[in-house]
Amino acid sequence: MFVDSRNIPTGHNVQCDICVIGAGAAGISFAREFIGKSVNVCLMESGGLQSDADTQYLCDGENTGLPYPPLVATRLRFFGGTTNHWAGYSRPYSNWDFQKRAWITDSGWPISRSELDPYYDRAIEMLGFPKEYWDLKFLEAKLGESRLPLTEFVTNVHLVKPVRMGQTFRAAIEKSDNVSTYLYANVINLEVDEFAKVITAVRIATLSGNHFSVSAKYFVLAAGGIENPRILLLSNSVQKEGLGNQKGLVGRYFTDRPEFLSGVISPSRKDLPLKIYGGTQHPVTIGQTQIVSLFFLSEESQRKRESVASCIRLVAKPVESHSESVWDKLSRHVNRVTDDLSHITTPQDQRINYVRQPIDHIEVHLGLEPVPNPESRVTLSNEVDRLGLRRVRVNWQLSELELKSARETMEILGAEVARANIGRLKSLLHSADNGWPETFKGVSHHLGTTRMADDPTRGVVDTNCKVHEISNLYIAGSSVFPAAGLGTTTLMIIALAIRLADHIKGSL
Amino acid sequence: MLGQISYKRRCLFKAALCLIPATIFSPAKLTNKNIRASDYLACQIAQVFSRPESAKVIGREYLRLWPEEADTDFLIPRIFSSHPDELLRYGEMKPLREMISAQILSDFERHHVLAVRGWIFSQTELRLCALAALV
Repeated sequence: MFVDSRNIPTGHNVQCDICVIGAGAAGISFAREFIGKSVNVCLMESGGLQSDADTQYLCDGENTGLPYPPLVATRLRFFGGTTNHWAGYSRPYSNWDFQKRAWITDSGWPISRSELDPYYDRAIEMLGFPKEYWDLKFLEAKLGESRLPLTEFVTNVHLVKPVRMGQTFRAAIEKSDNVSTYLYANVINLEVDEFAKVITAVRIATLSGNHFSVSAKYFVLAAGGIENPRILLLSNSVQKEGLGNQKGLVGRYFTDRPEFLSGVISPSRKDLPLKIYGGTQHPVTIGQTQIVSLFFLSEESQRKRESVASCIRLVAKPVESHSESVWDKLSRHVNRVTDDLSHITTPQDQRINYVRQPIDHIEVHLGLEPVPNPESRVTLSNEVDRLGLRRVRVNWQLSELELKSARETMEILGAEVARANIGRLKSLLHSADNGWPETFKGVSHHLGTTRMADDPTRGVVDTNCKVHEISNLYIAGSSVFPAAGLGTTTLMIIALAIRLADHIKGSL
Repeated sequence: MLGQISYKRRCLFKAALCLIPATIFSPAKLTNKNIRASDYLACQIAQVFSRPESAKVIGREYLRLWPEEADTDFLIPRIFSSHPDELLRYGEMKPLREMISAQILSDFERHHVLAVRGWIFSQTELRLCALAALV
């Protein structure tokens, strides 16, 4: 059932068993688990079924850290949330992503990766991914091509299928008798008892001006990696520093994954087998699923260099897309010299003619695992939105380790592609003056702001995603990720939301 | 092709200038690596480049970054693990090419790479270019 909150009289109190704040990937995945059960769930969504500018503008905020896209554009505030513009890249996290690494402060998860196996299976089924396509050997046989022989990198397959969860699951949620979705319902405060230990109600306002409240046994905050800490910080009527924030950790450890154009490969030959990498002119798809594989720097290599995890996505550009700006004055000389030297290093009978058709160049996009950093954070700014609530201030920071790791990864890639006679790499990281290149950006995945930890002094939620300090408040979504890793975010959000649903089902 | 011929002539001329005083004043030292016969050797080695002007451009960039290496006497022993003059004695380029090839591959395998204006090269490649720039 869908309810237009603008028609609810001011002062009304809605009662339910579970109140979920936010109808994005986490909120919908969680609520969907209760369809047909004897539990009343209220799903509170700030927007409607389509995007509208006034609601979307509630997302705006300021940035004081690394270059970042406008906050108003990095997430979407209507039914389905940010999955409404999700690119659809999916790959489960690896064991490595969960491991504590001595050279990375605050790395690792307090739960094991294998504990998530059954929830990943359910998330994968929910999104309709053909699980076998993640198997590289299966894919090699299917596509008739082998991976490129880079010894320091592991080829990992990503499946790309942008499921718009608002559209895909709308009918099931709308038809449900026990899950009620309240549209245009903006949470303005979490009300607590006098000790700030129990949430008693959620205060809701619409842009039309009416106010009401929702009471429930359990509350699940599923509003995203920026809004989750914002709502906790704004809910300061009893606990002045904000709810769940006695240790000052709410909003800290904010991060995103850097992923940016970091180099260009001048390919050595026309027949590079890039199908597995999705790096051809047209996307490689099997059925409705697009295939894109990435090179991940091997665990051994990371351990040896004490670096963060990194990955490389290749994007081949055909001749038509050639622009002079890609190449510098040196590139003509580089091609000549490397042609000469590769003729020395490649035996005559194995030599492949240098024809730079149809691939003109291959873009190299570098992805990095960010180091958990308490100084990188989301706080409240002094500006207020249309509801009178303080907006967010985002200060994304990275450390020297990410930059060092990025440069090393490019050097290793440069050596590997030259050794394997794939081509020659120009690194933008080595052209920049000891800093990030102009192309630097994140992928707008907001992570870590209410991180999971066993120890309440090190995280906001426990391993069941319950806020340490509050008995009936849970958090779903990427804000609980204690370490960003290199797995994909949305699939993990869904797996964790399903896990949380199981946990709460067991508590009801 | 014309460029290559003229390059070889220039090399021979330079090498001859190097060798003349050595021949006049100390003929016994002709076989000693420490005399500027390394310039002659550098000329020979630089013949691996069919378009030496490009190697020179990259070599000059390398030497701008590492000016302390702007000496054929410094570069040659660092490019070759054994003695290239032995290999070149009978005018044979093939063993030299094999040695260069092995050295470049070894560099890539061990990630002995450096960046020149962002382009990733093996150290040996860059030192070969530097030799070309010096002769």
